[in-house]
Amino acid sequence: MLIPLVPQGGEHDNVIKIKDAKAGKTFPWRLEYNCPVHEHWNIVHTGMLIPECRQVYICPDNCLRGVIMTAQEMGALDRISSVMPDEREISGGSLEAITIEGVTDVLHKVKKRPRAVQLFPVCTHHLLGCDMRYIEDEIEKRFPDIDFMECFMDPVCQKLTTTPEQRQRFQMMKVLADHPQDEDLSSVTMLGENLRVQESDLTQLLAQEGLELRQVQDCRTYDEYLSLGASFLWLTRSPLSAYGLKKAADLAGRRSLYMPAAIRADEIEAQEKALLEQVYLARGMKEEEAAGRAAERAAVVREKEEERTQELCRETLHAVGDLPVYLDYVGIPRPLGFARFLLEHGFRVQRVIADGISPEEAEDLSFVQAHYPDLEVMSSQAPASLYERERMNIREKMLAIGPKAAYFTGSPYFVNVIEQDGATGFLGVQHILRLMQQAVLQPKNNEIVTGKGLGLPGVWEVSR
Amino acid sequence: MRETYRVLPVYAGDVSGIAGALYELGGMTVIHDPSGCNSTYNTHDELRWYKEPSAIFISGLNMRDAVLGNDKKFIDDTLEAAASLPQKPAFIALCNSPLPWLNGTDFHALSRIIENKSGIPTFYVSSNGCRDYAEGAGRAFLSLLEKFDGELREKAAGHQSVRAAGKNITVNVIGMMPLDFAHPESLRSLKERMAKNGFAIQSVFAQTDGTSEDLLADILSSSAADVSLVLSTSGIPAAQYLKAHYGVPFVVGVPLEEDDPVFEQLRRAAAGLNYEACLYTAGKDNMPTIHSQGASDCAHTADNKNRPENGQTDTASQCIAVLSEPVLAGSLASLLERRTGRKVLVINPLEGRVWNGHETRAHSSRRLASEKKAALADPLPEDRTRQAAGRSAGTFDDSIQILRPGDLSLFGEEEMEGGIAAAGVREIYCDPMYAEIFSEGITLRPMPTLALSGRVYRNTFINYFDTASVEALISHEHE
Repeated sequence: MLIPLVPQGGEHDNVIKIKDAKAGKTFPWRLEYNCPVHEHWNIVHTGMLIPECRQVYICPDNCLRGVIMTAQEMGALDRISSVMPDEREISGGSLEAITIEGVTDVLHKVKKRPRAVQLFPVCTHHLLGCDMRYIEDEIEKRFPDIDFMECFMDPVCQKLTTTPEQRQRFQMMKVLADHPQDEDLSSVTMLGENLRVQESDLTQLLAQEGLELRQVQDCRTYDEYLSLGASFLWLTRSPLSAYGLKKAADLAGRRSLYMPAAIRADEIEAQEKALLEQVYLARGMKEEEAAGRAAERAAVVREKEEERTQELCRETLHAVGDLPVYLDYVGIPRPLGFARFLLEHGFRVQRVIADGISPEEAEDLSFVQAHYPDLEVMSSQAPASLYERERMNIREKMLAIGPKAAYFTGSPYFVNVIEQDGATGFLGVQHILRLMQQAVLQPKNNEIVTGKGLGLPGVWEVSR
Repeated sequence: MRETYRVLPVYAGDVSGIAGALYELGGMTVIHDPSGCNSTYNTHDELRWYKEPSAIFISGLNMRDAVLGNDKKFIDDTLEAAASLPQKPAFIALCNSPLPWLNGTDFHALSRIIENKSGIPTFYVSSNGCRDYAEGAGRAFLSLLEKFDGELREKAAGHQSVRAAGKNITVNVIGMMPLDFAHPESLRSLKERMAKNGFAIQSVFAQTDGTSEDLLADILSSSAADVSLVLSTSGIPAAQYLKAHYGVPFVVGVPLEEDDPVFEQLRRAAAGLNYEACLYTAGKDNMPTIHSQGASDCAHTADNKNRPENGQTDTASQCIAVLSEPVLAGSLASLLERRTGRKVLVINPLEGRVWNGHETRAHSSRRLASEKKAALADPLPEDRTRQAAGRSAGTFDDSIQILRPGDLSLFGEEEMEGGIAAAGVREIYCDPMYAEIFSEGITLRPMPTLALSGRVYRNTFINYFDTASVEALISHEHE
């Protein structure tokens, strides 16, 4: 029996009203479209943050090409190698042997012996039931002087368990666990972050406490990277790193704190209080005293920065006016929270582009559903989104925040950032507001969003 | 180890070749894959993605479904996606990455079910994510023709009157893939060159420069053309099909010059005269030559009219090579030989199939022994459509020689590195990325290729159908 395929171009489920949205699996898992926006970082980019570390991928042709070309575009071909088993080896039961011998061969061939190696077996290793423990043990035995990070590039698992990004970040943190803790408690380390933490209330608070904020982006050698483990407190802001941070910090016996992007004043204040509390507790302060003092300090920051943020918000609203605003999850890690913030301050937010609403945004979801039920949420992956740019056919001037919002609207007026540009806290919100002001004044070439790994050296560029 | 790559990327995979081949035909391509194939394809292997949307999707396969099986989801999702498009797709093509190949997914059955439920012609393009783009694209073109054979038959029926009317010779251009010919003006320049030489374009597999209203309709009228011009190895299976079933002869070669010798062969083929199917490899009888691999002295035969005497060898210090997709490489080598009188070695980096009468070394090692015999006899042994149509594999002309005796097929970084050194190459035309593995003293003449270096050199792609561009490429040889 024929299934009626008409009317073509009718209702599309790639866009829903927020009142109909739910957290988690907001859109059904169906065929997936991949829009031409590649500014977000992938596992290759993230892995390259560790100095003197090489990545080795063991996978068939089609999977392999993407990661090698990622390295090529960022000018890091000299830090990545690969093993490409053929059909007979994949299907004939020798994938384990070829993985071991291939990695061994690659490491003998490279001109400079790496201090660490991130190993990436793939989906086929899972499906064929390869004994990964045996593979890893054997390779480690052959190269006892190299630290191996047992990563995976296995997207076949990502919908049902942890993602390759989550496991890679755990492995990157795990090697820090053996480093002894500094006795003087003089530093805090930010881990699992692609972008450097910008100057912010976080950095200012830590500086006021006499604490150095250490980051992988400052490391020039592998030893410097390992020394990040010396801090008494490990932090992360990335939801992709929360899983690894907790596990690695537990292994190391360190304090850890997950500080997801906070937008509203009360969220930021609570988060900064939690951070200071950890610092004071580590210094031996009693819980009650630590909590009290931390609250006091966080309130001072709020008092100083909240009004400044409000003032900047008014300025930005004046600049943006009644322009429709579209924002995405690549640019803003808390898209719904930021949409709520903008809506509450009078901006005309039209649509949030997000393939799912994180359970971390459940409160924002409830609030926006109650107060702004017509806000739209759009999946960037749904097949119907392939023609969304043409369907929207936006002719009026509008503001996009994030590269996917820029692509789908086709607007030359956009804030071209990923991961909130590494900004955090009150100053982080202020930073994005300033970028919004600039964006409505300075049109850009929309095609730049097709570049790979924003902020990294890129050998491929289009004119800006 | 031949499997290891210290620094080089691999060529675009079969799935990218399939998606690229079908890109502009108004169909929908579904890649059964967990994730990544689509991103790799549209980031590195496809320049059209930002400006010209095409219905190419992945299935988002997860481990539970890969292990336990959930074909119903794949079918339902495909039907739903087809319904979500602004226009009903002209066809649905299915292909896959390694996992569905490993778990034995029956794509022919899936195709039939999807077609029965949707009424949209649906076919499978055999793939597994382990082969290169040329093979994928070749299979895609062939699968398309097989699926729409009824239309081809109709068009072919009216062909005689066209031929009798004495109009311009009509030509199918097959294998015009951005992965090989990425310069944006390539197709326009080729059409101009063809027109100047008195040819009319019947179809282009498969790109448009905006002058064709319906590229798929053009292709489905390819059976009515007088002759086919094959520009790359990806075009050979389709050209063979049109020849075997509709008597459309084909000539292999890239017309790099305004009055390229390939044009004369096209005229002869269209007129029913004797012709050389591949001029630059043409020997006395144009039959395959079985020979051992590994020639290291740059001595090889080619078309005997313009090439140096057989047996004459260059000294190592003079050796020139072209390392590229073999049809382009052979054509350029032939041009260089005509201009310089020096021998030029062709190096084929693709896995390829039976391009010089026997499998490439790499390819033979990549096949199960039981597959080998069938592969030699039939370019697509697993294709069932043709078998179902009652046509024997023997109707295909597998004798076409794309490489010349003495030319090399080198697969993978290690074999390439060692092979080039052993051949004594001192000057080489190839993608700039190969510089990573060349020893000092080898002069590289850059030929950026989308299929290898992706978009990195996109501002310097060469228009091989523009005289000034080709002359600039080979200008050093006149110095």
